[in-house]
Amino acid sequence: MSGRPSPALARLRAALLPTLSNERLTALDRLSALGFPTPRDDAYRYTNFRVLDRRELAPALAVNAAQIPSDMPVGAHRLVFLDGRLCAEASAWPDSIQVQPEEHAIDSLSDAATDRMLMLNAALGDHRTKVVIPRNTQVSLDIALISTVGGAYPAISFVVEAGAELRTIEYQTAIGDAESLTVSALHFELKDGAIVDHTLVQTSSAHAIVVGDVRARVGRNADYRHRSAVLGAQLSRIDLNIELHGRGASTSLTGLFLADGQREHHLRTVVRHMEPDCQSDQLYRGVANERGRGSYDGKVVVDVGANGTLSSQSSKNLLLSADAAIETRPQLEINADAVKCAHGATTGSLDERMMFYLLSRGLDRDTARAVLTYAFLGDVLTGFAAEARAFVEARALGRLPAADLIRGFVA
Amino acid sequence: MNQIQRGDLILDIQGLVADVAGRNILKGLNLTIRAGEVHAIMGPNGAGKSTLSQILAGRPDYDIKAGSATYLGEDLLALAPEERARRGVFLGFQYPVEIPGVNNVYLLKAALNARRRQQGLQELDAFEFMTIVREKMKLMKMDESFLKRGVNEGFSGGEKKRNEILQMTVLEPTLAILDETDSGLDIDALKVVSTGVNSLRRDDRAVVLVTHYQRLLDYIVPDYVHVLAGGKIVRSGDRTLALELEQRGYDWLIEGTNAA
Repeated sequence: MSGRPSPALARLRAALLPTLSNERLTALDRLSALGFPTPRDDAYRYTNFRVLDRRELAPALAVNAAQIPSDMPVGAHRLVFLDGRLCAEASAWPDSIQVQPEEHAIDSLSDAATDRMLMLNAALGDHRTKVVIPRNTQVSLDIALISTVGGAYPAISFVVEAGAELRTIEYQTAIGDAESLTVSALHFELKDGAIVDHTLVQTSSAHAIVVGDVRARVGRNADYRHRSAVLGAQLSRIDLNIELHGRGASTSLTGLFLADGQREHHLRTVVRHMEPDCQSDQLYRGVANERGRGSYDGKVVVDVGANGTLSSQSSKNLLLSADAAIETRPQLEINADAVKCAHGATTGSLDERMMFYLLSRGLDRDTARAVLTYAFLGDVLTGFAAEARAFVEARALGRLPAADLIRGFVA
Repeated sequence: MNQIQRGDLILDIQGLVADVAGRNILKGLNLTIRAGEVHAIMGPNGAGKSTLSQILAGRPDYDIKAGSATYLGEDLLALAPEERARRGVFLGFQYPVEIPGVNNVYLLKAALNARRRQQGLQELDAFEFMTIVREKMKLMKMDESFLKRGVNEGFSGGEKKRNEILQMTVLEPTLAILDETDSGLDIDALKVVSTGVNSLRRDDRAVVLVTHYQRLLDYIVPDYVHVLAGGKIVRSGDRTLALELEQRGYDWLIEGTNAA
């Protein structure tokens, strides 16, 4: 890990000097010496965070009232974070689970020492919310991460005990026109046979930068499912680190992004098969229009002895204009025998044969393009639960040309 | 819109020369089609039959070098594919493309309403539309599951062809061009498809059947049979020509062209 010192971080350190603990100062020192990640780091090959040097990084001042956008279908049980801080008045959860803020110690995140964005989250976020789902309980608990201005550094750590099941829809949004920065850290510990179904919907405003770091440790016969719809922000990145560390553990990671205008959406996944008979499946669809950019950088590592591994990766991307670009890099690192790993990646424009077929039935060109673009996302969209799907469709359609003409077309 | 009468000129192709990827496929083709007629275009593989169909529907990757195609008095070749469709030109594809995620029936509804707008008619509401579709589906012996599926998604070869004919019967085109609709069909499917095509025959419409085999013409009896070989119509006749081709093959006609 190398980099150029960050002037923004140095300034921030000076400003926050009186309020930060020694531990956090040390982390900030380290971070400012290293600077923000750039494509020279392999893990950030397609993302350049030097832009953060020009951002206001200081945590926003506390906001008084909860401002959940009225059209956000967040459930009755929810954790609401405003500018990175848990807002107790706006949150509610069932009595069966424990929710408690805890000191956000730097060393509590073992990965923070090696990942700079996590380090930033740990150094500047003032606490971490720990959620424990007891054995054999089933809970729906949504998450709303709402940012307005400045930096937001929410952190949540879930412990899902054996046989328990957590369903969560995470709504990430930045409201208003300010240049906000959100760096979130979600950690899931899945004990034996636990299930986590995690949907992430990101609809931030046009000047926001949004970084979501998700780590899951998946135990024996446990299943972590993640699906994402990335529609907003100026620049976004999702980092998914999944460790299948118990025999028979599984994960499925799916998602779509829509990069229009000058948006950039980046996605990086690292799935590690550590024990035998684990399964991982990935299905990603990206669309870029105008001068939009995007990337999928997915790595599957199969450890020595992880026999019986099943793994698939599919990344298909659609470019709607000559200036749009999407990079895709599925990678496999296999150190075991008796594994089945498949991957496929494509980036291309709309299928001319499909286009001609629709035109030959009388559809105009704009409608045909929009219909095919929307259909391209169908594989992923159909996996969303009804309420999240309606929310995503309403926003995704609104961004496609001829939106009102194509609503009925989705099979 | 003027009423089309039996015998009115629907399509008039004169001296059509066209290239595909730099290769000359059509070499001065003439063909006249009038209202009320069914024409069969037969010929060996590679003669340019599919090229002709695709050009008439407006596929972009063909180079028209010379000649003209006039459809109901308009320059057909100057119209975009969607404009041709709305004016009543329908191509039944030889290989209908699968479009996963796009609803089959919704496409049909959008297609029909695009055509009706062009004709100055009101768009149909969902109930009126479904009434028509259900009636035509019955004719084509298609079950309800077709309503929910993606366009040709996971359809067998025969189902795809029936779907093309279903679209045709709903859209009621003035000029239907059916490109090898009979290929890959068993005898039962062939009968169903033929019923669909025959239901469309009317004094104000015309049908062009592009086919390799005579078999289809037992069920849809054409008024004219043309042989397309080497990029031109080399022989025209009535349906007895098709029977003769069945017996003698195409070689005697192709040799004839070479000699000439």
